[in-house]
Amino acid sequence: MKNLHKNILILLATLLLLAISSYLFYQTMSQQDILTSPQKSKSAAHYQKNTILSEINDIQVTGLHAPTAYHDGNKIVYGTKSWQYIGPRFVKIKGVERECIWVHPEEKPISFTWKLHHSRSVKISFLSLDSIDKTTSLKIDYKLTGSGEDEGFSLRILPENEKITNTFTKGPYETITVTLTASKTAKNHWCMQGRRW
Amino acid sequence: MVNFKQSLLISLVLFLLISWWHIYFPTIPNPNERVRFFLTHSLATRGDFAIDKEIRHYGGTIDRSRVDGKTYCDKAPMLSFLGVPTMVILTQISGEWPSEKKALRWLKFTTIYPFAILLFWLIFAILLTQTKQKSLAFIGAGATLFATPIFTWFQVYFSHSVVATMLLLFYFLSTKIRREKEPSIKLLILTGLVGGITFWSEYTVAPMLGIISALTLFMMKNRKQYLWFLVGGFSIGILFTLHNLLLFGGPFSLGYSHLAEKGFAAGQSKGLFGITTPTLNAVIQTLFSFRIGIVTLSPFVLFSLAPFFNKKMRKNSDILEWWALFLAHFLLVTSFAFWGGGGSFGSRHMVSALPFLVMLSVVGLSATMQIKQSFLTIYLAFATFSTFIFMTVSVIFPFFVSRFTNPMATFLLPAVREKFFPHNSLISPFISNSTAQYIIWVLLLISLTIFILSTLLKRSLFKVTIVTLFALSLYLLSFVPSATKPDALWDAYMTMGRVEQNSERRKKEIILKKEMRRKRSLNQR
Repeated sequence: MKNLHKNILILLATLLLLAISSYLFYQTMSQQDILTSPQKSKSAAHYQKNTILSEINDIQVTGLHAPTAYHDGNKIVYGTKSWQYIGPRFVKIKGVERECIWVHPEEKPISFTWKLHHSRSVKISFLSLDSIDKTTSLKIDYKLTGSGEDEGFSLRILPENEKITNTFTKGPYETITVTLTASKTAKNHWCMQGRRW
Repeated sequence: MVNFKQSLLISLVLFLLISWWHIYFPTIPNPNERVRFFLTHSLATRGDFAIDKEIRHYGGTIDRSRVDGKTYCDKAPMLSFLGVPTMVILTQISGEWPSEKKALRWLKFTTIYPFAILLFWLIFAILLTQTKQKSLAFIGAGATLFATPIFTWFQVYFSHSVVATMLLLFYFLSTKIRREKEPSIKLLILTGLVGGITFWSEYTVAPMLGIISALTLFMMKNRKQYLWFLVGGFSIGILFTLHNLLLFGGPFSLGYSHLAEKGFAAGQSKGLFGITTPTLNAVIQTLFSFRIGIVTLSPFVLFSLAPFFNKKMRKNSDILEWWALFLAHFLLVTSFAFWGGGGSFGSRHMVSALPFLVMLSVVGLSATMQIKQSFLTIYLAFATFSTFIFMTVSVIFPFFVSRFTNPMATFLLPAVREKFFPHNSLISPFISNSTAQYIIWVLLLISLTIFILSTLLKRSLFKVTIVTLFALSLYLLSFVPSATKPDALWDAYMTMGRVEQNSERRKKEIILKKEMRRKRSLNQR
């Protein structure tokens, strides 16, 4: 009899713990809106808020050889012979609106260097804006320097056949340099997209 | 003791559970896993240590060393060496360049998963000697394998869990040497060899190897025989120094001394190979964080403190040795420049010392059970909770960006919500729906857990219910701290999975279209 009472008490205590944990779980997840899917097609404002582009006003670009090309922070800069510009812009790629730094490497490699204001993780994607061309190859080099927290860096490349080559590191950094070289550039425009996470 | 049929059945179930999923994410190849595979492949196909050809064929990796214009694996290479024989077989069957996905699955089947079985039985044997109770030995072996990050790192071509096994094997053989009056020369050489191989698989186990070796020398009855032990160890040592001399220019120059990535190199250049002194942040995070915390993710290890409150156990040399091994490794790991282990779930650098901590917890359990039997139910509830954490999270993604402080809320829940189950499992050939595969996995876990609990708790329905409900409560509570809306996660992982799924779908569509065109042209003719 004594054991039965004890067992009932233990069972009630366990059920109470389960009820409390279930309540806390549901309450927290609802408050944080984790149980509902995020908007799949994100607004430009969302990207503006979350991309690293807002942080890279001090981007340094080398390799744009057209005489009239210039770089003015976030503004779009046009070249003379063929268009080439750099600056955050929203373009629809496969139906999804993305914020890009557009690049058109022409013959020479283009190198981007920027210093992050904070130590944080960055993901950079290169997306082809043209029809897929199997013969085109895009060589991308990147280097990370500096020190910071143990975070991730991701380089996502979406060139031919939607093949994604992705590398990510836990490496620390402060300055990121990306060099972009296209072996066949005449018809290819690339969108470089940077996002922090 | 367990009879042959029982042990075979248990081993089969263990192998099934460990090999159920193939964690491979083509959009985010893990650099650590990739570089090890590259070395295995280059050695198997060309007998070359340089991995430049693999990088050109499969893609880059940031985990690499550069010396004289050649790229090498920066990791301790032994795991890659162990994979060479089976890789030779694979390349004979599938050609020189098998897909990375296929090769990694093959390497895991032949080189990684068997170690899980060995680890289970080693812990079982050691705990059986220590506690004299089969059920406690079984609990300890199961908890080590499934309720700690050891499970996570048996899922990938990493060295951590394999090294945990080899280190325990070294310890097991060493205790045999200590016990025997006249240990055989074969046993001595073999132990030395295992020690050398363990060191060449993961350099950070050196302090633990040193402690075990020193105690073996101290406790041996005939110390002159220790020379044979050294013969085994130094034979690997000679190969190790030759390898370093030829590849990296010095007998003790490691791959880590020539890291190609400046960020890593900067970290490694601090102190001795990136090892300085323990930091408070590293200590706290390694013990209590929701991403890598040993105590937070595996709370049953708190039982390891119990032996200190037991007079007999306080004087037990084995228990003291296990504590010394764990603490030595803990101090080393918390002194690392990259102590967090990158975006890993569970402290991966601590994995090699975890078997000792779990064994301590089981010994602690046996001590507390002498006071009150109900401590067993508490231990089992904690262990069940941890098993579910590791076996539900790690099979989706064992690597997290460290920003996600509580992977349960910011990763697992959104993954389940969005049905993001990117990996293949053993049942993929029969059931293609990835969500169904995950559901079957969870159901299998629940039924196996209840079966094991009812066996251990002598079929007491009341106790099984209490343990299950308590574990479920802890599981739900683990989602609560630091829960935030993981928008970034959605983009970082799930969109990548979607791209992969979409491209697979498109491939199928292309095949279907081709088939239709072919049929049409046949009809026209």
